Parts: sequence; C-alpha cells; structure tokens
Amino acid sequence: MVYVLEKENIPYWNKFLQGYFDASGISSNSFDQAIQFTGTGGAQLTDAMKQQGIQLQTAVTPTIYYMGFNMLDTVVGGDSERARKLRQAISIALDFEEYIAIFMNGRGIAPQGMLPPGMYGHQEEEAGINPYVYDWINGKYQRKSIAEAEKMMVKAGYANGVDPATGEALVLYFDSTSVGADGRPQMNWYRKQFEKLGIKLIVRPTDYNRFQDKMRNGSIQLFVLGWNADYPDPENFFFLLYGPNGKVKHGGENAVNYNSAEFNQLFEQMRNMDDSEQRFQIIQQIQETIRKDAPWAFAFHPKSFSLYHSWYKNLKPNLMANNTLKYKKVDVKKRAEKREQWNHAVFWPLILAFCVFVLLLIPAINAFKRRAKETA
Amino acid sequence: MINYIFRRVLYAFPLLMGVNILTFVLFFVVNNPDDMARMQLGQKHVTEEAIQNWKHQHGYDLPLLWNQQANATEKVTKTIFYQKSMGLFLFDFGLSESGRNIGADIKQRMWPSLSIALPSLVVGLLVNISVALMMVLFRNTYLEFSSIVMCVVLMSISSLFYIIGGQFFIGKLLKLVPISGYDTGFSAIKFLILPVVISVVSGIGSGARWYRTLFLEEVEKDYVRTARAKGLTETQVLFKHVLKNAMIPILTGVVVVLPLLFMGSLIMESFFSIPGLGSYTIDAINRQDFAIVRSMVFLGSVLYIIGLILTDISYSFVDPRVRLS
Repeated sequence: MVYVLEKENIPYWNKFLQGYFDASGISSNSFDQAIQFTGTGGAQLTDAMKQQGIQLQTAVTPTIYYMGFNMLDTVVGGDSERARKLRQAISIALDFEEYIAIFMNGRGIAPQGMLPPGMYGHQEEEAGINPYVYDWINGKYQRKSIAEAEKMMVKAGYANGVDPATGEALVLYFDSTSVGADGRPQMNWYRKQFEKLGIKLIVRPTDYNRFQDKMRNGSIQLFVLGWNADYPDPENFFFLLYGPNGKVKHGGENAVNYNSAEFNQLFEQMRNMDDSEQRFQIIQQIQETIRKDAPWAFAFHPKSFSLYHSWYKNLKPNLMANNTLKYKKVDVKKRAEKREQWNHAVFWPLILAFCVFVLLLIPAINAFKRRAKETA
Repeated sequence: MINYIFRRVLYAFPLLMGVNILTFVLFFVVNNPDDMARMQLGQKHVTEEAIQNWKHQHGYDLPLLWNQQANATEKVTKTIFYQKSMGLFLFDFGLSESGRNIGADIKQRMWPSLSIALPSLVVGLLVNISVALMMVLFRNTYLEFSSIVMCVVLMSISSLFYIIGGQFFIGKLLKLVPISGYDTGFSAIKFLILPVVISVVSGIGSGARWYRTLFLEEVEKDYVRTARAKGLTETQVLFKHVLKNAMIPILTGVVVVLPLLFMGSLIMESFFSIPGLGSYTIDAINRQDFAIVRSMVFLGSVLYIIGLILTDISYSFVDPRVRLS
C-alpha cells in the first residue's frame, strides 16, 4: 500500500484524471468539470467523467456548521425574550440555502436542528421542521420571509435594526479566521445578510490562536464553527450545548456557553439511555428547546462528493471510521492498463516549437552575417 | 585572508544570536506555549491538565527569556530560550515537537531540495547567459527587440502561473513527464524535469535582461573597441573578452546563493510534492512547531553568512585588484 501526500488541489486533480490516484474529492475549481445538475436538481457526472468510467458517491456527512451566539454576551446572549427574538430573527435572515449554492456548489443541506440526516433522532419532512425559521409549504421547507424576521426584531426592541440605546443601527461583531482573499466574499455575504435586518455587522479577522483565546475568555459575540461526529449517537452533538461543558466556566466544548436548565435535564436523561421510543421523544424535546432558544443559527450539513475510478471498489463513505482500508478492493491489472491507455506522451508540439524557433533564427543569422560583412 | 575570514566568522556569532532572539520573540508573540500544546494535542477535548503535561514534557513550562525565580546564571539558563536555542550553535537541532530528530530530517530532506535547486541554477545560468549573449550579438535587430519584449512578458507573469500552466500543458496535455511526485535515485529524474524546466523558464525574463545589461556595459568599453580594431570578429569579441570580464558580477552573484540552495523552494516543493526543506519549513509553521522553525531559520542564517563570506573570497579570486584585509 503506497500513500502519497499531494498538498495542492490542482496537481492532485490532474493526477487523479490520469489514473495515478484511485479516488478524489472535488474542489470548487474542478466542480464544473466533474459534476452537472439534472433538471430535478440531482447531481451527476459529466460525460467526460463517465467516459473514463469514474463513479460518483454522495453522502450528507455527520457534520454540522453553525453560527454561534455567545450566550454570555449582553446583546445576543442570555435567556431573555428580547435576546431570543433577536437570535431567531438573525437565524431567519441568514439564508444558508443561498450560501450553500454560492460557496459550496450546492454541496450541503440547511439543517432543521442539531442532528444530521441518518443520525438517530433526526426526523425528515414536516415532523423535523424548525418552526422558528422555516415553514412547510408544498411539501418543502421554506425559509420564513424577511418580513417575519423584521417582526421578530420589533419584538426584540430593535425595530428596523435600530438600537434604542444609541438611536443608530445595532452593531454586532463577528470574529472569523477566514482572513485571506478567499474568505472576503463570504464575509461580505454575512454583512449583507445582517443588513437585511438593518444590523451593521463588523467582521473582526482573527488568527486561530487569538480566536481560541477569545472563545476561552468569552470576549466573542458571533462566530462560525463546525463539528464532525466522533460516533453515531445524538449525544455526540447535544453535549456541545450541555451547560457543564461551557467553554468559559469549564473549558469544555460548549463554545456558545449555553446553559439551559431544561436542556441540561433532558440531556442528562437521554445521554446514557438505549435507543427507544422514550429516548426518541426526549431527543425531539431537546431539538425543540434548541430551536426555540436559538444559541446556534444552523448553517449546513456538508454533502461529500467523492469520485472513484472503476478499478477501486467496495467503498462506503464514512467520516467516523478510519479503519476502512481492509474493505477496499483495487483491480491492479485494470489500473495499470488504464494508466497506460490514458498517458501516451505527445511529442509533436515540441518538435513544432523547435522548428518554429529555427525558422525564426535563420533570418536573424543572415542579418548578422550581412552586417558582419558590411563592417569588415 | 585567513585573518579576514576568521574575523568574519567571529562577526557571525552576534548576528546569529540576534537572528535567534528575533525568531524567538516573533514566534512567541504569535504563539504562546499553550497554543503550541493545543495544536499538538488536537482540537477536541484538550484539558488544562493535558496542556500543562505537554508543556512540562517538552520544556515549555519555563519562563521565556528571564527566570526571576532562579539563582545566579540559572536566571538565564533555566529559560525556554536558552534551553531550546543555544544548542543550535553546536548544530544540535534537537527533536521536533512531534518527537522527530530534526538533524536527521534535514540531512534526509536537503537532497530532494538540492536535486531541484542545483540543476535549476546551473541550467538557468547557462540559458540566461546564452539568451543575453544572443541579444547582445543580434543587438539592434528585430531579434533583440522581440527578445526584450518576451523577457518583459516572462517577467510579468506570476511564478504560480508557470507552475500551474506547466503542469497542465507539459504534464497533463502532452504527458511528457509526471505532473508531480518524487522518487529516490535515478528514478527521481523524470519527476525533476518539469520543476527544473519551469524554474528555468520563469527565470529567463529577469535573468537574461540582467546579464544583457552587464554585457552591454562591457561591450562599450575601450578594450572591446581595441579588440575590434585588431580585427577580431564580433563573436570572438563577445566570447573571448566580454563574457570573461562580465563573469565577475555573474560569478559573485551565483556564489552568494549557492549555500541557500540547501534551503529549498517553498512553492515549488509544495506544488511538485517534493519532500525537501522548503515544504518542511512551511509545514512546521503551519503546525506551530517552534523547534523546526528556529532550526530552519538558524540554518538559513548560517548558510547566508557563509554565502556572503564566499562572495568576498570569490571577489579576490576573480579580480586581482581586490585584497581582503
């Protein structure tokens, strides 16, 4: 078994197409080359990929990204109805369906709660809706309108986004580690989402060490984080909001420092239970509590798109297990044949370039000889 | 000359100490030992106790530069700076934060770096001098004019474009060589052709124009006019006289970069998956591995100082008027 570390996307992708890598993800640069969407919105391989016998596997990963509201913050945090309505309004305004379409080539789904599809306790369709952010219309989730969010803002005391304390637009601070040129369009997108509510968002670019410091001491207001499940149980998501896991007080993984007595009690009840109807119902209550309190604005569950050559078989997408190598099969003979077939060297452009160079040189040499004769 | 070299070597010590302190301060302004511990221990479930254990095991539980609690000389010696940096003066690079022997890593990785850098330098030098001589030989013709335009075009293109374009055109479309990768022994040659070609081509613009300037300066001098008056042809004048005299700045310019070839190229090694010292340094910065960062900065400084001393020495060899004292 040979592992090769290829750090850059472009050579990785090209070598995959030449057959020197058995599998590949798809970077944004190569997405259009590999994937096309059908009329119904389904993803399929382009003809060029199909001709090479490449296969596509897609799966929603057991991962969630979210915008976190620091619950210790005096503006967006706390258990007051005012702060809750503000968080709910922001959750509506943050149109993550648009974000997924613009920045992720559609590779993700907007969550209705903490649990990704496939996780025990996740519910599909109307039963699994987040009623504070979505409506169920014509058999689909429909994000509530900005008018609804504006009503929430009025209830929160920020009509038209105006902070009554200052008489000016409410100012919120968003700490982000996406400080490079690639992150700028995303930061602009976030600003625009908040502008819909009349809120002025100030993005504070922060390196990762300082970001962690701010998280630990609670001097952060808004941020985006994600979580990959370690094991397939809802407890591995819900513990991220369990009060005694609060980041500031206890140094735990509850980055938003959410501490709800109701949530804590339900969590303690469900975490060591076997899967059962009772546990399922508790999970639904927990989901409802989180949706209502909105310590997170749910962003997306990423969808992984993986490409495999025809000689690479018996694969199942699994982000939680690292010991899947033993199940994979490689048809080495077929791989060698395909590599040979796809990688014939083409020499004629080199020969042509050399001929052109020589042709260009001839008149110059003649001119030089003529001048040498003239000066002799 | 021996005295001169000895003095320059002595000057190097305060310089290296300064570089060491600067690297140390800059690194710890951005990363404190707690950050390093968190990075090494992973992102999830890192407890304060685990952080303290890691710092103790790796010697980062001491004060940075001055130990107020210690006695006498230990105020200086029982600090992170002394414990981690003073060994460098004996070329004892120690272990990386992940436990690897840095000296062994450097010995292993300098060969891939050299295998790109040395041929790139030699071939690049030959190509640049040839192109520059051709431009001077054909001066005031369309060939010189078009060559200058081409040089300006080549200079204006980003080096990243050469790499990506070269990999796409030569590696993917023409399939003449592998797009990236590395192997040991003679098997490495096929992997080195493309990065060397790209290095040479991307350097032609600036290199050829610089050498052309040197040659043109020489061409106008009295001894060249005398040579022409003696009846020598233009090619004889160029290759026997101009080239020889213009070699002084070329040679000294090359000597200064020779030791730095060991350090590798950050971008090239990353794009061509070559396990050299350039990618080693970049990875260490990303992993906040101070042990490797300080070793590589120290090594780079030593090599640069050696390069400068060699340049001075080479001056005295190629120009008899120069005396080192």
